[in-house]
Amino acid sequence: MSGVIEPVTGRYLRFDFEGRAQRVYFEEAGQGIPLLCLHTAGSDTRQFRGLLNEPRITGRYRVVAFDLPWHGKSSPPAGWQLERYRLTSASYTGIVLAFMQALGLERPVVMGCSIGGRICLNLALEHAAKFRAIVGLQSAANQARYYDPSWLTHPEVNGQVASAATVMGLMCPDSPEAERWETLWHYMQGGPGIFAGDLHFYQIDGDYRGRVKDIDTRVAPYYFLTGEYDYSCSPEDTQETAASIAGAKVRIMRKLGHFPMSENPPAFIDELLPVLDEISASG
Amino acid sequence: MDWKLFMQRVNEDRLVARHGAGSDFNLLLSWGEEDHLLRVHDGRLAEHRQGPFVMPQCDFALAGGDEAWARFAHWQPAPRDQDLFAFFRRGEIALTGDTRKFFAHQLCLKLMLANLRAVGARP
Repeated sequence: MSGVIEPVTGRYLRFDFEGRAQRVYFEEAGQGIPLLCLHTAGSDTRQFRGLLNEPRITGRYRVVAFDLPWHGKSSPPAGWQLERYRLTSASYTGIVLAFMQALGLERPVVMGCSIGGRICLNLALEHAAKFRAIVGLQSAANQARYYDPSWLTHPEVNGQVASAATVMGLMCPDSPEAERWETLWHYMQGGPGIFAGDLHFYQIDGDYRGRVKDIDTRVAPYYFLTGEYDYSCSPEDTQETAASIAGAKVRIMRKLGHFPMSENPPAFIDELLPVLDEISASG
Repeated sequence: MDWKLFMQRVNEDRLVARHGAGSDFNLLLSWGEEDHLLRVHDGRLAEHRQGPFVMPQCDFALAGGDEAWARFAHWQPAPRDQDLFAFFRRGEIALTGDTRKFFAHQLCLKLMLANLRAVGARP
């Protein structure tokens, strides 16, 4: 054998959610404190490839990432052909908790990006005690719409290519070309209408303005990490949200954009390691 | 802006050739007071014409001020100046016309416009 097998295991987890059978794909690597990773809208677990292969993290954290239903290798539940996919604050919160329970994850650190960073705020608001710490990447309480995602599902538009084109400029132009284009490939492989369905949560349903001030960081510390090239969840958006949360910590990441973990894994890991050090040292 | 060089760069760009194949659209790009018509055929920049025009025919238009386009076209754009949508969000560049066509050909368009950065002056 001359190939290299990565220390990453991919498996399927079956459980019921909202009264329907789910078959959810997840990947994991490492041992120690569970670190549950949530991917961005319209993408999947592959965004965390760099983290899953980073021994400085997997040596002390059990990194787990799952594909939301309808994403990646998690097929939609039976009957999907009659439904229009729309992510909501309630359904997103519910699936995260259901996955944790089904896998038996005890007080993980949860780290989500973009829509994942948004739902981290609701997890902090409503379920903080279930988490050891919360890391919101590109996380802010709201995002005013500046484009209409319904065009991404128009029959005369290739939604997958258009989705990739829509997000391509969210990355730092200096991020490695291979990683930037792999990030786009994930978008080009998304199911029809899935990115737009996730954006329903991001742009409309998941508006936590006015509520985030109630986050209690004494229960679960909250870390904001935002790439400076992100104009969707800009540093100003993050700082405005963080300013209303007592005890929240903010790190603006240089030379990174909206997809820090996939557009430039080494640069992101350098930013993340001090946060993980602090979390693991806190006991 | 050297539009002749821009056109040459676009048509030599392997990413545009790869991802723009089949794209046909006419763009009116208003850069401050200057109007430019860009005709794209099968992913190639077939024609560039500079105005002024009377009732120009196009599929969609992008209009922004001199300063906004200069920042967009900078060879090394500042954080959050690297994409059209950033300028849309801030209201500095406006999209009008056939939005469906814009989204359908967005990848080709963005790859083409990235060449503005290859043409601009460097220190």
